[in-house]
Amino acid sequence: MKSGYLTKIGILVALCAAGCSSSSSDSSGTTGQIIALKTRTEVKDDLTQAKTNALGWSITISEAYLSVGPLYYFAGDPVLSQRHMDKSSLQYAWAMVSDWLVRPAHAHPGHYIAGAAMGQMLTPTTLDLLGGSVNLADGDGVTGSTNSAKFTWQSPPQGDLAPALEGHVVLTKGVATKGATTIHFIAKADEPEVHDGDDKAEVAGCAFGTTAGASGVNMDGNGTVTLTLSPSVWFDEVDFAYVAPGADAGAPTPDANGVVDIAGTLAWEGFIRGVKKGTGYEFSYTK
Amino acid sequence: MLPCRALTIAALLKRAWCSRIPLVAIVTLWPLAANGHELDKPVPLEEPPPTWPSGVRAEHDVVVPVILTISSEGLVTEVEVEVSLGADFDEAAIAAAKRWTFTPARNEGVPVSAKVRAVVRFRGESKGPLDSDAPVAPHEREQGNAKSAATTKRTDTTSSPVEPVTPLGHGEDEHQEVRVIGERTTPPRSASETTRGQDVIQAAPHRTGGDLLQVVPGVFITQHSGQGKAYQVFYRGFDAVHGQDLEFWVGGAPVNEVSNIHGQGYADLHFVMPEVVSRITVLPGNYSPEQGDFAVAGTIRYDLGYREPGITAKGTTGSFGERRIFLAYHRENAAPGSFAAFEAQSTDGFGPSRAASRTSAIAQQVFPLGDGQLRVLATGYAGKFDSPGVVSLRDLESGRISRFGTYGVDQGGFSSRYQLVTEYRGVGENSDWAITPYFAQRGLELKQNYTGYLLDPTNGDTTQLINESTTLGLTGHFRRAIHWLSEHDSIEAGVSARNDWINQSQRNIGSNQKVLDTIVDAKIRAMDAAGWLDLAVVPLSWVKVRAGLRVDGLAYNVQDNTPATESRSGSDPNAFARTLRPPSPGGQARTAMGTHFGPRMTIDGTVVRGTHVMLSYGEGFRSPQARSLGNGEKTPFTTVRSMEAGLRYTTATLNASVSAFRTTLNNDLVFDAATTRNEPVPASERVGGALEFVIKPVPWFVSSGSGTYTRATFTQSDSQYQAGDKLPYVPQLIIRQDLAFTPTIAHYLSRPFTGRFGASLTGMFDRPQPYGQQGHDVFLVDLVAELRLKELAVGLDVFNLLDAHWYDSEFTYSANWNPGAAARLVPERYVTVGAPRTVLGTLSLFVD
Repeated sequence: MKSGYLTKIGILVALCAAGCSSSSSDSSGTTGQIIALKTRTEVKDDLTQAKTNALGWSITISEAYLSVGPLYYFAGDPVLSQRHMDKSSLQYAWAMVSDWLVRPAHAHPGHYIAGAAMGQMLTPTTLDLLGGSVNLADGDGVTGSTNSAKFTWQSPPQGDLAPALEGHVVLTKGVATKGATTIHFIAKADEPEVHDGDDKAEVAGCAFGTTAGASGVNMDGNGTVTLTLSPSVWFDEVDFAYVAPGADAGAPTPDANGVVDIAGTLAWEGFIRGVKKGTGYEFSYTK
Repeated sequence: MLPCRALTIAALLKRAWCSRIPLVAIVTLWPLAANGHELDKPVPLEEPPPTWPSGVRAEHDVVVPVILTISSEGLVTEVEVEVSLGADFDEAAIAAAKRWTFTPARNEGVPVSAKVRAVVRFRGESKGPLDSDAPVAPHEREQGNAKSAATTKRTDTTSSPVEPVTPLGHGEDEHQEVRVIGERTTPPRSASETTRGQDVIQAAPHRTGGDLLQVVPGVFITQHSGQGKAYQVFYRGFDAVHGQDLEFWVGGAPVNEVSNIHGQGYADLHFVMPEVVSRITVLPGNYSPEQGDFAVAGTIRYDLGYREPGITAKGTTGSFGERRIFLAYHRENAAPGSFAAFEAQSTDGFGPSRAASRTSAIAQQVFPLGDGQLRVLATGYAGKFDSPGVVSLRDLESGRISRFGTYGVDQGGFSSRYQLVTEYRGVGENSDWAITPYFAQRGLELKQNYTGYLLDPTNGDTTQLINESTTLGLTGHFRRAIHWLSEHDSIEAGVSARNDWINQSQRNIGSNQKVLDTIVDAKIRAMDAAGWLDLAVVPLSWVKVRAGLRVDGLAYNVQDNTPATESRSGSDPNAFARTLRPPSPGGQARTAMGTHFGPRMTIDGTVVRGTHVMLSYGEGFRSPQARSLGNGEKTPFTTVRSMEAGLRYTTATLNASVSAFRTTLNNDLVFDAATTRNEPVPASERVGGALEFVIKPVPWFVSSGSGTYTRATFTQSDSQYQAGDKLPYVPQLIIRQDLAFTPTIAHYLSRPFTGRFGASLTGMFDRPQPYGQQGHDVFLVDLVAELRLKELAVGLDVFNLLDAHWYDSEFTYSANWNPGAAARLVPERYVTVGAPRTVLGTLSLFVD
């Protein structure tokens, strides 16, 4: 009887004590949440339309396949980041003042700090970039500020379209025109050729934001991560003059169909540089 | 003036016989608040006679010597059997003594607590021996009653209780003076301060000394990395991990290891056999000046003793290849504190990578010396264990890995401890003192891998931790009466000092055990010297106030031999990798010092007899990891503030308390799987309530129960944690119930046929995980059953009777256990699987 009485007192005390916590928060959990993230891809460029690159070549893509590996999203700022801010906001005004007072130190390749992992999509696949938007496998993540991402190539390619890549991680075909010169080309990259400075087939420090190209978003619940691909970036620095008829003696010979494989040429080196550019892979989150 | 505090059993018996009452000899040993004035001894008021265990009287009397703790209200709060006559007589004697009441000891008229020596007399049918002065020979006792190991006769009806004595049951040629020095029974510092005696400790089955922590109200323990690694302890909203938030003492020596490489305060209790722990004392919070480093959530003390007279030999075998031998020796009539014990144990484990073995020896002897007594304790222990490590909850639930499966990474460890403790206790006219020097040598080697191949996809992330330490220290106190606010006040001064020499390293190793990388390689010298003053005053007859101040000075010298490195960056997949290997200057020597002041206070108000309202406040600290200190840095302590309000109820058959508490920390530590250590996190607080009780209405039944609810939250934010959120891993509700029935079933072959049937229920609920995840609740039932015919006993221990599928530990973090697949960087759930139903059988032989 006495112990029962004490039990009742104990429960009351425990409840009172719990209710008397000095914490003002009504949170009922630990910090952060694990969230589900759907993943989809979009292609920024209309590949059926010709686009002129920095060197004056008008390029039309007829085939483009890309081997995609795991995708990761991080808290760290992206390489050469530009935070997306509303110019009418106080945040923007404060950023301007603070940047004037203390000049920001921009990250640059080799000093990218990924920070905590905030999300991932782990299932490799192969994309046909002319096929439009594609839903990839579901991923997961945790809530919190997310600012950058890492794109990886999968080698050997996986997925239904993997045979189209013929073992490469990138394969494109198209036509480049400049003046009177027209070149039917094929450009491809193997896994070792896209390695970064750490000898990994990945592009680290890509922008991750509310829209493609923006940086900085608070992932506060289940949502969708969109990977926006820009194949035009791959060709920005490609000078097809190096593979045009009458170029250097080492220029490749077109095949029976008149298609030039630019592999090993200076044009190809420009292509590889473009493929490894972070601006070709932009990530965004929507709830 | 108290004439003398050194007594003999024979003197007690002489006086006992004169009084012709069940309680026959009472002598004050040492009043708790003695101040040098005339002291009135406790006088018995009511002494219900004991009940013969068998229900049938022997022809002669049987006397059980006991030491009683009598509160200032005249209640018997604790009974210690001084000379065991067997479990049945012991329990009957304890039950009887707990029903007695007294006028309390008085110091100049003011009631004070006191310890007295007494005997419980089971009166026999025959009075014949009363006329003889000659002791009864042991063989005669045996003829009269198999349990009558202590038949006695009057020897001198007028003798003083301070005369030389004859130990019970021995002839004149075996006369031996037994000197008893009062043991300090410091009044509780908080309402929820409590003890658990052997009746509760032995109610349910326990396999190790660390396992006994389960009987502590509010404690839940797990063992996530093999049977040999220190238990992970959860207590009152703290994930104390292996001891960072709980101060452990065993036999007068500290167990926590300063700056252990695996975790601050690492406390491995495997060196203690459960059979030799006589009492567990729990001091929640930090309200006593005696509590020092690591007493963040509280202090737990083990007292050692073994009562079974003669030689005990036990052999145990059972599930999963469990084998154990236990040997003990306790000389008949010697104090329970004098014994020697040995154990050797091994198991194949309940699944792959779970084999373990250990061996341990403990010897303790209490000697009379001068005006006091000397206690010497020596222990030796070594244990080796494999560890299955963690597995992904996703893999378990999907069936990709079996219930007891592992990822096949070589993990485990080796642990050893050797120590020597000496203690001298003395008593003066109005003072008492003690000094306890100790020496301990510890070794710990761990191989563990929590993250698989996350950080090193080729070689894996297995790390080897080695920590070797040598500890030399002492504690001491001196207490005496003073006149300050009243004539009944006292003051105590105490000192504590320990010096730790530590060699530690952490290295990454490959699958072929080759060392790949050195993360930590350091030699540390850590010193903690403390002093305290503790004042007890009685401003009103029903109010006692105790206030004290403890000052700790800590100094560290770190020789960092870690090879010079640069911080990993650039390609690190996440923040874990950076914390795994911070930049190291290489070969740098650093020193740091700091001082902590910790005030402590308790107000104890007597509401009605046996019922106290208590308010407690204290400030404590946790020392830092030495290798984390910068050169010349003022030692940054974790400062702890504790407060508690509660009600404490004490009668002969029921001890209970109910309390509410709050503890705040200015910074905290939370386990980080990537570094396999606890890493700093923001300030936090715990708020909760606790209820606990021990009830023993009859000699053959005891019940101990507790329920503790705590809400542990952050009070500040950082980049990882937000104020107001719960601390991860810390269970909020812990319940525990221990029950034991110890009847005498019959008599057979002139021997008592006794039983011991016990059970424990353990519940742990609401275990939050990082990122809003919720851990699994745990509910376990253990059983013990033993039948004994004096010299022979057969027992059965059943752990996890319901074969609950439970998770011992749960974590949420990033890992990659498939080196060929894409690394998972986002945190997910990892668990260690708890033990299934385990049955052990024990055959025991007792030789007087």
